[in-house]
Amino acid sequence: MKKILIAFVSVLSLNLLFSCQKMSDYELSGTVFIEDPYYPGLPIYSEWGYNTFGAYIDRKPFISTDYDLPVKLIANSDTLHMIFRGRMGQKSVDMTFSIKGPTPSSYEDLIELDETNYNLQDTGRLVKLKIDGTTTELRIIEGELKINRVQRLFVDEELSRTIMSGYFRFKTFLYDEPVAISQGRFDFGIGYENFYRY
Amino acid sequence: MNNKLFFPLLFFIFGFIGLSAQNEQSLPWYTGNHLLHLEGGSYFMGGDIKEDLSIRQNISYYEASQYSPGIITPETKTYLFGIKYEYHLPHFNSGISTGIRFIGLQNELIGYTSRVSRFFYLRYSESDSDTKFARISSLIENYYALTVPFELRIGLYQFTGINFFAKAGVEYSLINFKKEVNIQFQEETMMPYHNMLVQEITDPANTHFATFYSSLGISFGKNDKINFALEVLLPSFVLTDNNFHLLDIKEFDGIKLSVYFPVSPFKTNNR
Repeated sequence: MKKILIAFVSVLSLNLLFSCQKMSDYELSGTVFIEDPYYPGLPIYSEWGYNTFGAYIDRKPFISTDYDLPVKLIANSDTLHMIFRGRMGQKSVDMTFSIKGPTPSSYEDLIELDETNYNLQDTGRLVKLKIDGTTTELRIIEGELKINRVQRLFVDEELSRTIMSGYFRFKTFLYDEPVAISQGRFDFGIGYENFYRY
Repeated sequence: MNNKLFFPLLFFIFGFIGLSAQNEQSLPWYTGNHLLHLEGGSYFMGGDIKEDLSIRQNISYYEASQYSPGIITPETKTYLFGIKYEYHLPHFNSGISTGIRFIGLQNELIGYTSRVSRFFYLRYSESDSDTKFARISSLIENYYALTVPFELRIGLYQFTGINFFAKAGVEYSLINFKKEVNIQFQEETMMPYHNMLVQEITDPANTHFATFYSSLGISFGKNDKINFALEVLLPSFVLTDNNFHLLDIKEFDGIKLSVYFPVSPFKTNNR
């Protein structure tokens, strides 16, 4: 009887612990959108893990939403793919940056990318844009992706996720017309639910 | 017109009307009565969350839903009581007073990350590679002070047994008893870090506290008897900066109840 009681209490405690952890993770994966007063329609640049991104595609804001997971990081053996998912007006848009090179084995290891600058014209860089289901591989005229800051986030003294913040901008061709993606900024919390390695 | 000038000006206009409305006097102007005031009341203070408190959400957002960035609510509760001596000049139906006043104040920050999560994230540590949040149920700051008020009260209009008056005053803190922050964590496992967190999130606050206030009031009772008064503070101002750890409070209003006792044989004008 005593053993059953101990087992019951243990299961209950583990369940409670797991519930708390899940709640914490869920809240930190939510979006906090604070509009930039200088660049209307875009979120401010932040380093809080607000789970937002935004950029102008010419003059149209392409931004993260409340209901889509704004980023997924996929690490292969030699390439890191960063998929930004959001909206441009009514259109669903994915922007994928693929960076060839050493890749992190877990989201905690993303810290290695702190203060990293990628010239998007270099070999081994690829940018794709998927608008309403149609994917276009972009020919980059010029541009950069800057991972400005990567921090490990501890919540109540326990490692929770990694915050990755930075900027991007580039010029490319879209529908045979040159366009500028400008004022790009992102602030993501990367954790179990949006980091993949395979 | 500048807000800060409006109410003092209004006060002096009312005061002037009050003085002009006096009847003929039979006593020398300087002949006065001695009154003892007992007062109690509350300041209604509202302020902005201090910018150096690092809270992970949009603090200007006022809605909590499943998708919203949550809500942070600052609340301030104050109470005061005091005892004052007034030298009342019947010639002007006015008086000056001073005394001692105890003020108790509690600032509280409560936050909801979303509709179902009754906590907010507070960043208490930040280095190049690591940042630390604590899940906070509430932040509470308690402040107690003993202040010295100095007030001018001007009668505006008097019926039998009813006196309308305007008042202006300043007060300055004589002693600050306590200015401490208490943290209520969402998880009790954080309690061992309580003092460290308090140190991390608070900077030294001002050790002085001063206000300027004005009010309109009504008192009931005959001149030579006990009077009961109700005062409504007009928008008033905190004169010192950086008074609290959690909130920046610049303005306040409030309400006061007082009892006046004549403490010597009362001298009145012929009316």
